[in-house]
Amino acid sequence: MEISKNPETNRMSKKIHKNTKESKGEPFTLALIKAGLRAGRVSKEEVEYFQLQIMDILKDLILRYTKGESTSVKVDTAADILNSIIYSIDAGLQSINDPDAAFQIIKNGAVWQVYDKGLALVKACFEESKTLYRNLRKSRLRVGLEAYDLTIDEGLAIFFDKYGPVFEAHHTMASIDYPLLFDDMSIQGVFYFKRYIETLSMENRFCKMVPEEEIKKVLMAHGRIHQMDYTKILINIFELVLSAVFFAVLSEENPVTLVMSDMKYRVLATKLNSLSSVQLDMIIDEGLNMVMHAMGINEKELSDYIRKYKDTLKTRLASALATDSLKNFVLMEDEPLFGKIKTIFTDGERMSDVNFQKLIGRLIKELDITAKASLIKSEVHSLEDFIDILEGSCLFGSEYFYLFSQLSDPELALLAEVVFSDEMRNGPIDLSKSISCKILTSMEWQDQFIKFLAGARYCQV
Amino acid sequence: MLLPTDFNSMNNIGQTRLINEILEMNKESREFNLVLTPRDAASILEARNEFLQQLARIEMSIDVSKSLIRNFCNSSFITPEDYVATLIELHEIFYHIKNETDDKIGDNELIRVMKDYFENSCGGSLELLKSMLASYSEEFRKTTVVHTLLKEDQNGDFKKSGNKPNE
Repeated sequence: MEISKNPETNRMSKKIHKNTKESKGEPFTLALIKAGLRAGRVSKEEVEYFQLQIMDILKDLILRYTKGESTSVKVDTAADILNSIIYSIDAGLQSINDPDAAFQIIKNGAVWQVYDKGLALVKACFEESKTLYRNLRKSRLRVGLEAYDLTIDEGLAIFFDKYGPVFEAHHTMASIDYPLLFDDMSIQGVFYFKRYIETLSMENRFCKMVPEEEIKKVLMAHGRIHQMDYTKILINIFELVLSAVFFAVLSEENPVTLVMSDMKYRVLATKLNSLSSVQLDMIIDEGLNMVMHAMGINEKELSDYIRKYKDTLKTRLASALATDSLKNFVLMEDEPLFGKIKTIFTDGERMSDVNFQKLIGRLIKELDITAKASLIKSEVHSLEDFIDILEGSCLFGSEYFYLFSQLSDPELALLAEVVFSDEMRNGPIDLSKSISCKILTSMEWQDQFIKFLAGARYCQV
Repeated sequence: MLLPTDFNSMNNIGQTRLINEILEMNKESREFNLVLTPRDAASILEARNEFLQQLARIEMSIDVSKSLIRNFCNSSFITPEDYVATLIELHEIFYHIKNETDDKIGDNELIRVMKDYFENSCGGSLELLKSMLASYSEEFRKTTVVHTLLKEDQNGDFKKSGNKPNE
């Protein structure tokens, strides 16, 4: 599974491995016993008797595990079965929801009773989860995200194939790659899976309110920003869709038109940039309410889930505004500067003189800039050749702009290093200042490049 | 909180009861002039607990000890002088082979194999028994692997992984 190196993407990319035998901290039963001892609610002797009763269950289960053919097992096997027992006892004690009654069970040593109750709950949860999983498969999104598809088709399927409530109640035998927006990792076993499937289904219900084609556009736009194949990115679809709907309603767009036009983006950016922190807080509140209203969301659980996103949204938005990287957050239909996956030139592959002269001749004859750019893309593979082309009097006026707009950020940075080589001798520069101070050069392409950058508001190299 | 390993030592709580259970077996072995004293029984139990600990196993009862006594007391190769030492060594061999066969062989079946080899192939030699059982457990593991693969094949697992044998 591919993980983006881009911090923006990594923030949203959580790889979750739910493996067998993983420890999740102290079981509820042990915490309860310790609390009971500290508070004097149960005596040491009562706890010892309670523990002996657990061992009695262990003895019974080991015999069942070996089908009566063996009276001994490896310690690892026994420990695993013991964890399974404790998991069910936890479920039984937690379901009581009354500390006094729970302490009474410990005092009475009624372990078998609470174990049976807990095991029944685990089994019921497993059956419920199977139904939820079947429904999830039917109602899934079809947007081509690998982690999403693999988690539903394989990760969760493995769990339902392998899980056993009696001997493996605590197990989480699956590899879940797809990250939820909010995932409760404090629980384990079948209760974790039920929660995961419920939450994913809820996220799907929201995403289903938007046409899948729109979701794909959002994913592709996100992939373009991070120069990655979107199908490989570990990202939560719900978060992308929710934030896109949020920006759409703020821009008074149709809430299910998720990818924004350049003009709408400029208006939105101006609006957001003018806000104080308090105003930003208010507009996020208001915006999320508008999202729920526009999408007709009445379901309390989903409304709460969306509201829970407020803090994360505020942090991300404030950070994007502070670092002038709103374009990495608000997804746009056509991005003239960002998201060029294909680079034009790479070092070290210079053209022969003959081929270079032929190319110059063809470029001079060609009138259409898109055709010129295509020629350059297909023929030029080194920075030196590219600069020679720029200096070759075969491009005119706005044609330079078009060509620069086809370059990736690293390529633009390389050209900037050439143009601002004098300014950069003493280290990094504030490009916005250098652009405004730069006296016109003797080369047309450099003048055009500076104008291009001024229009693009690049700030730092 | 008790751990599974506490199980073996928990048995020590009822040490007297366990010793008496072992001594009960004298009723069957006396016929072959093999009798354990309470001290012998305690030694056997102590050795058993050590083996279980060393081999990272836990045991729910002393049924294996009783079964070893029951099955081996009629052996013509065991004398009153080496009875206790032989029983202790048989315990070690038993738990060792249980681990080696990954618990895939039942207690009764393993004791039957041990007795068969001891009587018919090893001439009462414990060293030879160990060596033969090492070969036996290796063969057992191989057979188990083949059996598992065949079972997977029947369940369609080959098909699933694209390794159809007949393709």
